[in-house]
Amino acid sequence: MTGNTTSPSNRGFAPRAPRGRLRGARIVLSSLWHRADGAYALVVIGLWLAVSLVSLVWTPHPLLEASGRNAWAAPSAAHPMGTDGAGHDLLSWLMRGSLTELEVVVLVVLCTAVFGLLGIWASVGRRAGAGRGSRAWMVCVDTLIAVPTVLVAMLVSVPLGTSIAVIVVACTFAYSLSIVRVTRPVAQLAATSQYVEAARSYGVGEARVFFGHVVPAIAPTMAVQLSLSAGTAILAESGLTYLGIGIPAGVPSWGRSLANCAKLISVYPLTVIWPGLIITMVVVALNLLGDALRDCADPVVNADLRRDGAADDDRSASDMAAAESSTREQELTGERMPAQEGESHEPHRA
Amino acid sequence: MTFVLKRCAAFVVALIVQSAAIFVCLRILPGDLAMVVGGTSSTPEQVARIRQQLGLDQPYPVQYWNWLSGILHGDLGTAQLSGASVAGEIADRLQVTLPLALMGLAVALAIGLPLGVLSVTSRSARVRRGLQIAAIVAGSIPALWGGLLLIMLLGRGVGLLGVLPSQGFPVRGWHAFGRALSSLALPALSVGIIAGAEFMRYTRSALLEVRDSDYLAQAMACGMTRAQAVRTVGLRLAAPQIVSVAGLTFAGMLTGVIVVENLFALPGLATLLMDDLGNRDLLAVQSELLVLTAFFLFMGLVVDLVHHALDPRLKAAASGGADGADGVADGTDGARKEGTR
Repeated sequence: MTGNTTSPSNRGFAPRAPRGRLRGARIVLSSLWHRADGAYALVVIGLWLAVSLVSLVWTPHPLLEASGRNAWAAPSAAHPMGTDGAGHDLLSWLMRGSLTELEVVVLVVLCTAVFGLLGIWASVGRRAGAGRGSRAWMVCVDTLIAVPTVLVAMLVSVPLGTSIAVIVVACTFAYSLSIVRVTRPVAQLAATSQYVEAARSYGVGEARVFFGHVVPAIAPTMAVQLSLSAGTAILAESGLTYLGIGIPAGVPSWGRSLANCAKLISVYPLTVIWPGLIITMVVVALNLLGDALRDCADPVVNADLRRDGAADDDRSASDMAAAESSTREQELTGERMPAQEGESHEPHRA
Repeated sequence: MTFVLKRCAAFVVALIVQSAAIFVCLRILPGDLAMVVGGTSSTPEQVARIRQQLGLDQPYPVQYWNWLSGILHGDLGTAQLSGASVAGEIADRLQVTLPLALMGLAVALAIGLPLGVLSVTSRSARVRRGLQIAAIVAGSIPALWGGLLLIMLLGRGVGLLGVLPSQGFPVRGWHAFGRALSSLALPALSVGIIAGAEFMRYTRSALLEVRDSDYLAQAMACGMTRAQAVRTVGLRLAAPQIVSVAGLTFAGMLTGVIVVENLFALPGLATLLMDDLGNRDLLAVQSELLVLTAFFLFMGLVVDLVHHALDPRLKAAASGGADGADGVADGTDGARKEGTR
């Protein structure tokens, strides 16, 4: 990560109110588009989605078309990226692979979000509060976070075999723990704020307090983290698939193509360029998106968001709107929490 | 001093908890070692006898106790399929993995530190932005692909420059020092460049955090230029965080290098673990896992102690107000998370 992470002192916590999420999303998107890195990220991710959709109905060659005579063919008009060892057209496999990749990334991000939220709830929920339970849970998180993703994947692969599930479980395990770790100070601040106290005094339930006050406060940080973990998930996929515990053989994915091409690099070195290049480009895009989102979704940085004061009642929300909403609400109420650096910043002891 | 004692006690507790967790995890996993050792043609009686020999018929608490007391006596058990002692196997593999991780860390530091400093001190905005983008791109390269590109560039027989061997490790190990070193060079480079990119981002953000602090203002008031102040005072201020990241990166490399080890056909530690898991040799796996986690926890301990020693403000914070420690503690947490990712 570049730059400092979102500092808790910038966030205030206002009750959620129906606001123009769609408009907010549009503003965030357009300011993303006007930055060089944001535009690159949007273009690459857009292409990725488009290619995955297209590959559902059309690929230059059928996926199973293979001929021994054509194995390791050099790039030509018929096979723009050449063919692999079984004579499969590399371009077709990479196109369909982007669909598999999308599946992996969406699953990982969804599971990470769900388990991350559960973990945060465990650390700031009322019963956990500031008490012993929360501290014990954080010690658990700190210990578990030291377990390398590869180890988890290896252990999980014993019962699950070679499958997408291995990648999803291992990545979810690692990333949701780190989300808990990173967002906890902000969540803690929100959970102990006076809004929450007031809400509780009205008899508002735990769940509503959590989703109405805590989640909006951590949404920007989470959006950035999720975007980063999407990138890391792609890298993990390529590594685990190469080790033989990720995507099963015969299912097209970028990591699979890279692993196939890696075998005979000494004989056919140039085929290996494409899969790696695509992976790198997409991961860079996801990383840049994370960085750019952090700036664009933050009203302190993004003046356009500040100017957008009017509220309309369109509640349809996209991911980015969710990321944006809390900061905007906070901005509208003009609330700035003073830096409450208390227990949330105690030096880390595992 | 109490901090050191407390931290060491926490280390021991964590170690015991981890050993229990490993034991439980491996008993949940499917697979019967006795069946594997016996082979497909073994009779149920033979399997039962093997199970008895391995002590697998005893109740779990007894097994756990035997395992732990064995370890305390320095006996990590025997790999059932090869018959070698687990401790010996681990020592063998460490000969490859440990130097590889050390060399990778050295490369990462050699790349990350100077470039990280440069990305803060450079006067040209273009250089700063360029370095930042370079770090993001280099951090996004799949380890496998990075290794392949290096082979294509430098590998003997394949590459354009063809200077370094790209496959295997000499049988005689470190007795053939030059060959061993050169066979680790390419893997260390491919690990180090990617880690170095990450490292550079940390150095940069750690330096940015202290750039506007009063310490640097004071240094500049004494006549240093901003770049000088960042290089001398800033780096010293950022040292605790940088050391933390370095330690955790190093710990992570022990298993993190598995893809690179595979690619370069090096017999490394993580590869051993993976083979044994594939063979369902759970008795060997549990000892190997314990050694690995003990190492992670130990690195965590070392990092925390060094961190504490390097940052006098933490000591003051422990005894009095918590003001001084805020920024530092916060930064480390973020770093720790990233480093272990």
